[in-house]
Amino acid sequence: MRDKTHMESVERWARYVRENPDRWKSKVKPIIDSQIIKSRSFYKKL
Amino acid sequence: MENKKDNRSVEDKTILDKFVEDFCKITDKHVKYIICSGFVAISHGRTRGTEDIDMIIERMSKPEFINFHNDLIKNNFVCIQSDNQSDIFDNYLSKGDSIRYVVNDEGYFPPEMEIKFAKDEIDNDQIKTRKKLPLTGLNIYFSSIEYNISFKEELLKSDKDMEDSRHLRIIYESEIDEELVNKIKERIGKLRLNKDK
Repeated sequence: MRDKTHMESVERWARYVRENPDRWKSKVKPIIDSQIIKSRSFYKKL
Repeated sequence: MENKKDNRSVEDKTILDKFVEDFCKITDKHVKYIICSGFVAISHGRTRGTEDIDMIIERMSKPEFINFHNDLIKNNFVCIQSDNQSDIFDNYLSKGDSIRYVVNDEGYFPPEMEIKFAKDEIDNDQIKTRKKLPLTGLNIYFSSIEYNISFKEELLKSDKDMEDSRHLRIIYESEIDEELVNKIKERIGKLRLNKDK
């Protein structure tokens, strides 16, 4: 089980998403995209 | 369920968003579908990784599936399990196993669309009550928030799933039909966890 500060971060971010419906996506995009780009790049090197 | 107006631009769409929208646009021409599980939370802003997106489709005949598959191939997707439509239908989908499609590149790189046939009345009801969720900014059908929360809290229960559920509960605070969540959890208990037996 993760410690309570992990869930607190989840909750803090969820409240930001709820209160900023036209802002959150631009903050998430680099994180989500970088995971896919990094993963593809790694697979291509194998 | 209503939401604040979504003002996001196309440029804000992630690689996952574009992949899912492209895939669903083709799927929608052939069969009723839902996107469920992790991508529901991710498309609502959960910042966690995933390599596969879960899709449940209504059962279809073999000729119908072959048309669907061929349309996906024509649109630059490829099935990881096989190139042979009969093999995919007979040895995977019909047997309750999932099949996975990726963009046809030099290798089978993520993201992947994981497709399964609806397997019981719960899946059929998820498809029947499917929704477009405006906050995501995506023109695709999802299983309802109540279904997603119920599965995560009653069946899946990992840290990741409980965090997804908490995230969705905060986003849709005061809009969630708790009575419905309880009924769905009861059904999951009976049909997926054999709680009555």
